[in-house]
Amino acid sequence: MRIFIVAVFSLLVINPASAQTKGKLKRGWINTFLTVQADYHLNNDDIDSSRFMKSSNRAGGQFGLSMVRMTRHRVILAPSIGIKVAQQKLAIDFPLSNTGYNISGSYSDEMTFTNVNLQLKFQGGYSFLMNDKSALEMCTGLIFDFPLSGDYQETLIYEEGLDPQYRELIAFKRMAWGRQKSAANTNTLFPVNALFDFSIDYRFLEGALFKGRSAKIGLNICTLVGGNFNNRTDVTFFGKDRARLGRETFNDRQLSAGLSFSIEL
Amino acid sequence: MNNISFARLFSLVAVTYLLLCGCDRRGSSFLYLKPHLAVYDTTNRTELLVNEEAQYGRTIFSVIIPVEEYKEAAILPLVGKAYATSIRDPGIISIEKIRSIKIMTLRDYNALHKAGSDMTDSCIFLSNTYRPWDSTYKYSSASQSLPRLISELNNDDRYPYEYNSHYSNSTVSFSFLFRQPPAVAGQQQFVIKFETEEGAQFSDTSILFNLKP
Repeated sequence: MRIFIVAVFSLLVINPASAQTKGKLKRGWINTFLTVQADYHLNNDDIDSSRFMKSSNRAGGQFGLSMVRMTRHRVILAPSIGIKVAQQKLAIDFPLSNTGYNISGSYSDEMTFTNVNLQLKFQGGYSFLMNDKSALEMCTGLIFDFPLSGDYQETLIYEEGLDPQYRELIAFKRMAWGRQKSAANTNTLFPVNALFDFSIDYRFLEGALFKGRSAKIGLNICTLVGGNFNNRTDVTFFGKDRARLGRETFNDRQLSAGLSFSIEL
Repeated sequence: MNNISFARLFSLVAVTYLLLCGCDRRGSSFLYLKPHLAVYDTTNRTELLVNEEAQYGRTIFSVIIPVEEYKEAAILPLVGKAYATSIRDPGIISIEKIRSIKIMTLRDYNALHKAGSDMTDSCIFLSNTYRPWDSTYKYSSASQSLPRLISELNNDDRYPYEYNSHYSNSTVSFSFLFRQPPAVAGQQQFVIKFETEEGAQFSDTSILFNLKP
């Protein structure tokens, strides 16, 4: 099956006819932009049940280079490369009265980690010329996201003193984020995810803001569409005699909104 | 960069992505939940109820431990299935390791084993080759020592749990029986206790039932 899929896609790659655009498009200009972006990661809804675990929206950022090519029909093709940094924070507050033992207090924990990802972005879109100084550009595309940082932890959480001789299991925490995978994951694949991206940029044409250079400010939204190395944390809570109280899962959709500024190099 | 180059580049990236990211044939790890110590009559493969009567030679004890599974998450299941045929079965890992298993009687069993005593040394352990609740399985007399049973329980890949439709959960199971019959007919009740390497324990107590020598 793997060979079959490779063969099909290889044909697409090596056959110029399949990629021909019928001569409508001519070679255009390529402008290189340096981009910095502030992101706001929307994590509040990434937990399926928020009884004992909560996630927080966090700020992040990214920077990179993009090569923007515009055809004479104002169609934009823009591959880019960048580094994205995102902070994540999860908090657990598990009141021990839920265990069924006559005990007060709670188990609390806070988990933080920072995703550093290499991103290859492939965008396409259209540029609406507004006047001789500005244009509105709308682009969408796919991001291939390679996590550079990561960690994996399995933690059994016990409570002392509930049994005179033994420790009592009250929770199990499994946290996998970034490029790390569990020992049970025996495949040999590389860490990579795919994200969908949509952006609207207001472009200041050459001379409007900087002499001889164009610049852009834009809004951007981004979310995960697929991948095997997403941020994920499972916490299972147990009561007396290992009665399963439930499992809460943080599964990062990587939904974020961003504000960007780009300047032509 | 012309249009053909863009198309080629995009296709190349797509192929690369599928090859790198495509497979989700992943293993599982699990945690033990509260075990169930069941007493079975091997003649009719039924689980005894409270105060029912059983004959020593036709009685077997089954230990069924439901497990909490942790499977890897993959977000491209269709692609994963396409590649899965070329990947070997993934491992199954028990998160906790068992240090000891003890079986105790709560009633006087015979002259050697009074109420509250440890009967573990008097047990013959059978791995999951015998499943009283499943009529398609035949009785297997293949016994094993307790250290070997514990070793298999702790050994990844060698003692997989399975979905147990009778218990509507994935379970780990094994059975045991006693080497000697009770001294006299009477009520019996037993406890099985597991101790983990982390210093935790989980246990279950059987029903009270009548056992005849």
